[in-house]
Amino acid sequence: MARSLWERLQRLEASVRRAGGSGAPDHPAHPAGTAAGPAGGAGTTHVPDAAAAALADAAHGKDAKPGAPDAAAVLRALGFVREQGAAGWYWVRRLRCDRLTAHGCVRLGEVDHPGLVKVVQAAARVGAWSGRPEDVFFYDTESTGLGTGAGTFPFLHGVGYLAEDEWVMEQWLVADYAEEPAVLQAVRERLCAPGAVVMTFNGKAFDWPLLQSRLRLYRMDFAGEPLQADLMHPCRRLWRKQLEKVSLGRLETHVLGLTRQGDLPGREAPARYFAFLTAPRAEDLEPVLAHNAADLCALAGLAAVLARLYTGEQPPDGAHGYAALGAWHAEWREHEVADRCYRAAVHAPDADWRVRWLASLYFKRQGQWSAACAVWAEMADRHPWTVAPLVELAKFAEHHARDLAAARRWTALALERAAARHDRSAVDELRHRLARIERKLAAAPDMLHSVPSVR
Amino acid sequence: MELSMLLDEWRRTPEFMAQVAAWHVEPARPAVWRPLPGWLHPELAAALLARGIQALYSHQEEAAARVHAGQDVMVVTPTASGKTLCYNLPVLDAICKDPSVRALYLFPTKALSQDQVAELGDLAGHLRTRVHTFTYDGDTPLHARQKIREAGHIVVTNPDMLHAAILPHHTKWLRLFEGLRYIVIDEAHLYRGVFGSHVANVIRRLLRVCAHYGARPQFILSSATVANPEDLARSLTGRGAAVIAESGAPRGERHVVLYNPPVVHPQLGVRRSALQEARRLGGRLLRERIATIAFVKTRNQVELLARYWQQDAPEALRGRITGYRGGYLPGERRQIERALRDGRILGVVSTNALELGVDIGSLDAAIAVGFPGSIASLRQQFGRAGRRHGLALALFIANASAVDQYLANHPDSLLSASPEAARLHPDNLLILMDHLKCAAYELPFAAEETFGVETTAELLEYLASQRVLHRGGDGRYHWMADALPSHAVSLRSAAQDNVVIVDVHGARPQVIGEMDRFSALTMLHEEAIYLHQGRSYQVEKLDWENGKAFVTPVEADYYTDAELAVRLAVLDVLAEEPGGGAAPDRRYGEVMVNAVPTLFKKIKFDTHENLGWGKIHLPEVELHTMGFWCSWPLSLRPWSRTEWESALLGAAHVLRQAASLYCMCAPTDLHTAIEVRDVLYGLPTVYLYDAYPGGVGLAERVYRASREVFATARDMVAGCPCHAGCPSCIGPHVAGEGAKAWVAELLATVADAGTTVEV
Repeated sequence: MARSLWERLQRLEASVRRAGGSGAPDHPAHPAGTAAGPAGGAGTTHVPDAAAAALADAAHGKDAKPGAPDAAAVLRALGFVREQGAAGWYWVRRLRCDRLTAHGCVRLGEVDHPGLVKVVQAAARVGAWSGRPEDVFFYDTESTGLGTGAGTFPFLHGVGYLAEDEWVMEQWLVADYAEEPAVLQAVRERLCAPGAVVMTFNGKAFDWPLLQSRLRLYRMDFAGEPLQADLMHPCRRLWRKQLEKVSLGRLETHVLGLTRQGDLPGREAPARYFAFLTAPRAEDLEPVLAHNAADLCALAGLAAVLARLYTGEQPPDGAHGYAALGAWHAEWREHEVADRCYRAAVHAPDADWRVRWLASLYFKRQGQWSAACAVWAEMADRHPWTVAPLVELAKFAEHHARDLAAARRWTALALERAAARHDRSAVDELRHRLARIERKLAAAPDMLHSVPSVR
Repeated sequence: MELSMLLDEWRRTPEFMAQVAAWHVEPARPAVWRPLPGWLHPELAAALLARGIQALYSHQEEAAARVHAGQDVMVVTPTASGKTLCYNLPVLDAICKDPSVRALYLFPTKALSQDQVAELGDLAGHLRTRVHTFTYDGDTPLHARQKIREAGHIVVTNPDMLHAAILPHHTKWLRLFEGLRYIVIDEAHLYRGVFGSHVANVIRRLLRVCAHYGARPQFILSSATVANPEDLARSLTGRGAAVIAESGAPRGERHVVLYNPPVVHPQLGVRRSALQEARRLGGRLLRERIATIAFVKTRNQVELLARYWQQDAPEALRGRITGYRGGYLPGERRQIERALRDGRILGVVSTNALELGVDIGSLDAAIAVGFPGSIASLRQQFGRAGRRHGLALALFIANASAVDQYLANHPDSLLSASPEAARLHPDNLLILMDHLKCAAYELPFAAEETFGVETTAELLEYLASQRVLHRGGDGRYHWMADALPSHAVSLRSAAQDNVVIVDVHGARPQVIGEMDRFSALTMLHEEAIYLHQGRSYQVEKLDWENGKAFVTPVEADYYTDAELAVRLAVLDVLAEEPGGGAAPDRRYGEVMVNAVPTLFKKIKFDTHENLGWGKIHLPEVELHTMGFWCSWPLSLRPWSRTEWESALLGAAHVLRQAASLYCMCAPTDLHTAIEVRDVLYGLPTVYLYDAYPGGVGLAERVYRASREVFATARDMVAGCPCHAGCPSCIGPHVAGEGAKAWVAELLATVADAGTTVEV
């Protein structure tokens, strides 16, 4: 009657209804959606412009054996090669194309744009980039889960960079768990050039900590950690207003003018990878590789557009874009450019309260009083409920122009609006201000007749 | 009136003394001092002096010296003997000498860890070396976590956080794990049973991660008195530890009184209810303004006794008496703890929640109403009375159960016998598998690696076949899923899937408490009376699927008591011992149990008379677990079917009591079932099985020690003063004139079989 340990386990787990274990994968061995297309899969997954061609080349250049059970054969068919590094053997594939290859509205090789230094400045907090275009690396990973726990790891590391006259994408696949250290070593060597900068999208929160976690796990120190620049934050500043969700996909469409066809949703990547581990098939892995390559191209494209924006070579989308650029240039103490950006922002047809307000504060900080007052006056006029610009006008009239009559007029108007909005604290503050102005007027009645300096 | 005068009065009262089974005076004990050790870092010695500590109690010095010498230690000394210094001293010393040293403190509850951090901060504040101590629990703000990971010398947390937040993210805790030299486990005796089995596995994972980072930390454990401190340390940590049991701390005089309520119905052997006696005696103590705590066994009793005390107390005292139990919300509990500390509350009734080291100041009297399930627990309850100086009273009031009566009749087993063993069963297959998955997520498993059990390789292979793990080219097993396995595992089975209790009487529904599902089966069924803070609520609706019970306050003069019906099937026999002759066959193995609550009774307060009953409609609960069973030959006695049934029911009842006493578990941790003709052999059979899926080793211990358990059970029956069997010895459901004798006969077949063989 005695039963084996396996039988007992099965019965036991069945009885508590967690057969297969908590959090076990319940994906089928071979996920759906891999039906069409030969090895290489250029037909099922459309990768923007250049990458597609490179992919197709890579796939058909080798003797493809789709569906072969041998992992090595499958990987070779996908264009991977076996290499040996300092920490052992690993699989990598390299996709190359001419740097002039168009990618939406930019060219992949535009990473050598002189504005890139600004992109680095905007996306990274500290550290220095060598300034050489070949030291810019675009980095994106596909991982086994969304968490950053110790058991989640990137199974695919993609790095894109310029090498002479080519745009190169390198993809390291952890084809066997045991090869991860070798892959990490190779990736680390690629990224760790002195003066290098690693550009990511949301990498600051995800890809980068994950990479560090894995290096720590294998006790491989990141000697001379490269500068890390995350494009997500600058992109949010520029396009938050236009895009509900600032994701790489949305930006690709909105900024680069590209639409991916049949792209694999990122969350399906882990299941594809696990399926590959169990029974290697090119169809499972290929869409993941294509997705990763497309992301790398998008990253390079975005960096190029940002570079153009920062150098003024391309105008931003509208008022918000101008205001965001103005803020950056102000941070960088390039006030002439900042000034131009803010002026453009307030004159843009889609300028709103916030843009005007930011611009006016910039003008005020710079002592550009006439420009500031013009914006405030315009705001007072366009936004009949607003109080703050009136207060600013009143302050200016009282303390700088010394036009107490104007000060009284602005304050009274502000008070009226604040009262209408039942803004108790503003009302109190304005009453206080009005009383002070009245006192000053009583002491120097001739101020009533001075010439207003605004307008 | 002072306590000493009241005790004198009771001593002079013959009616009181007639019920006293034992009155034992533990004399006051002076302190045993030792000088501060010479190796102590001068800063730390100075800090101790600054706090007025010029010497150590002997056990503190011994613990520090052994830790200093590199040993693992287990400190087993009474409540309030200064246990915390035993670990704070070596830990702070090591940090002063090397600031890269790290220590991890594990406390079973949040409240406890907050107390300890305050005390530690007090001592560390006198050091020049900056020692950063942080509590890392669910309340720790996100922005503080980064700093704790990098800079915390001492990280104070609980096993749940370690399991769910620290270990799965160990790479973020590089500094901690690289420098980890000490793991402090306080209140180790609480890690027993299912919870302990989980914690032992979490510690296996912890040590695995430490080894990965090249650390081999020492353990410093502390525990209440248990019989097997070394075993406990070994099953928790997987390593042996030096046990330090001799306390050098001073203690005030303590009177331990065992009180057995008077018999009110000699024919049936019925005694006055222990709760009523606690009402009377506790009420007296409170009237004399003697700060008193009573420990009762169930949540219902907490509410009942608190209500009685409030009713009986003079007007001015009513607001100073309260209940305290698990179902109260945390804020409510903190408030009560504070009021206890500063003396605003004079009387409190609690379940064992206060057994923990939470500092509530000292009370003058502690009353244990009924045996709490283990001698160690009882001693902790007694420890609540009188901490260091002055007279204190510890009063045990026996209830009608066989265990209590056995103890009242054998006072030595309470007063001088060693306490029981705290046991856990880390190798429960389900628990082990859960943690094996978590461990594989944290670090891949080498094929030859063992995780607690020798069959690790087989278990890993099983998980690989389930596509949970994947065997890499290096032969190691790696996690293969995009989920975090620790999310699906809760260390406290009760906390996993609770039923929330919602008061829907007012304009806005209000959550007033929560309860685990198993208890909810019998306590929150529709029409049940639920007692909370002395108020009665009726359950209007139980939403079993979503775990919600909707209640409204009612004025009821009764409470409810529900019953479970059980069906049992044997799946596999793992060990058996044939009886031969009159002795029964005893077996141990896997069983499948299906339980469903059937009906409930309405019982009147005060008189406890039965007012009626109702049906319960709730789904069946399935339990796959380990069981012990015992089948007698039909030829033993020419009993009728009903006679056999009575005998088996009675034997099951008393065996459960005896087994829980032997295994140091609550009687509710072991369930029983009987069959007059069992399915396999057609024989009369009694079953005892673990109340937890997969079993936690209780049934196995009953199997191994069945002679002792049966002998204790037989003594319980024999020691009961009733004539033909009563609810306290052979249980409430047994009918038949000869039942008591039949039960005794059944028990003797095993109890006596041993002696003949051994002689």
